[in-house]
Amino acid sequence: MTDPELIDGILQRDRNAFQYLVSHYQKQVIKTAFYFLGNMEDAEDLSQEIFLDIIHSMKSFKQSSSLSTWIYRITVNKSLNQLKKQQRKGIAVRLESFFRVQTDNSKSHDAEPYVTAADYEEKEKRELLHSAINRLPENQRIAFVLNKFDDQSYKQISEIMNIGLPAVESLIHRAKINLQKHLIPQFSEYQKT
Amino acid sequence: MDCKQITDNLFAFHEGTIPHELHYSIEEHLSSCASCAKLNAGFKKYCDLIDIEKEAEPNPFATTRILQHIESAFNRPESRNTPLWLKIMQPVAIAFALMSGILIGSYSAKTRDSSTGHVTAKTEQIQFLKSDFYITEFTDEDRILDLNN
Ligand SMILES: [Zn+2]
Repeated sequence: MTDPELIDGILQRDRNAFQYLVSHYQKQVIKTAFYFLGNMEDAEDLSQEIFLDIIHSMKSFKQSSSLSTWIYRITVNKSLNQLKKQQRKGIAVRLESFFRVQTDNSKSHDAEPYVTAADYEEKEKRELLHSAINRLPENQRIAFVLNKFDDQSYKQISEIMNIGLPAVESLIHRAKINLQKHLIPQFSEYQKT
Repeated sequence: MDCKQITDNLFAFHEGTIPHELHYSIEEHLSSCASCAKLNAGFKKYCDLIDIEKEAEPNPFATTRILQHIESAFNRPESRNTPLWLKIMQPVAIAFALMSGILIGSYSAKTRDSSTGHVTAKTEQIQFLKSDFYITEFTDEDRILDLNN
């Protein structure tokens, strides 16, 4: 199925077109969402909303970029909005768990009985990495994640973000400098111990 | 080479995107500076983590779940097919009703008691409503990247 045929099928609400769209783009959508959210289950849940959004907004797709590029844009937008929602919710959850820990200490110890030290260290590292990435300014974050995690070329990123190649280069360069700044203090803690 | 140059080039060093000579002098520094070597080893773990995350694969049943979700959305009687004008007009109508209520309230209060302090308080309330209830309706839908291309 070519892109125009697929677009046409989706506009006609053709079930075969939906099936083709999902089977063809699910990996791209879920993996990109995962790179931003840092959690596969959340990414899979969000992908359901992303595909609905793709189908519903197909009317507004002007076709001045490729379908894949446009799907990337929707995925990035949705993932970053989801992250903002989670961060707002996270403040409430952290407060709630703080009070739960204060009132019931024994239960919280039983909650994760099979976590090994290595698992815990990796989980902690993943959280630190993602929180450092999330501290980057939005455009740096988009360019960095698409490049480093999603293996997108500077040219593809410039199309997705609708900016010039030098801008992409500069965003990724600054993202790396900032990430180094955010991550290095973690090791100075190590060095003390 | 000093330690600062190591911290400035960690990413590029691990990506292998720095000139050969610089790469060689970094390696040399790392073999003689214990704290930079430790820093480098720690940073490498983060780079490895990125490589591990890159390889993560979605659940094989994800396609089925997405298709089920689409199917159920289209079978829902009043699904997301709400016309755009209605989606826009609903919050506008609610905000309009709220604001006119407050304006009528403040106007009638003003006619009864013309003290200016009272009116100012009402104006602040309107600003509050505008910012917290009405405007945030749209921030969730913020488009980070332009989709109209
Ligand atoms: Zn050193």
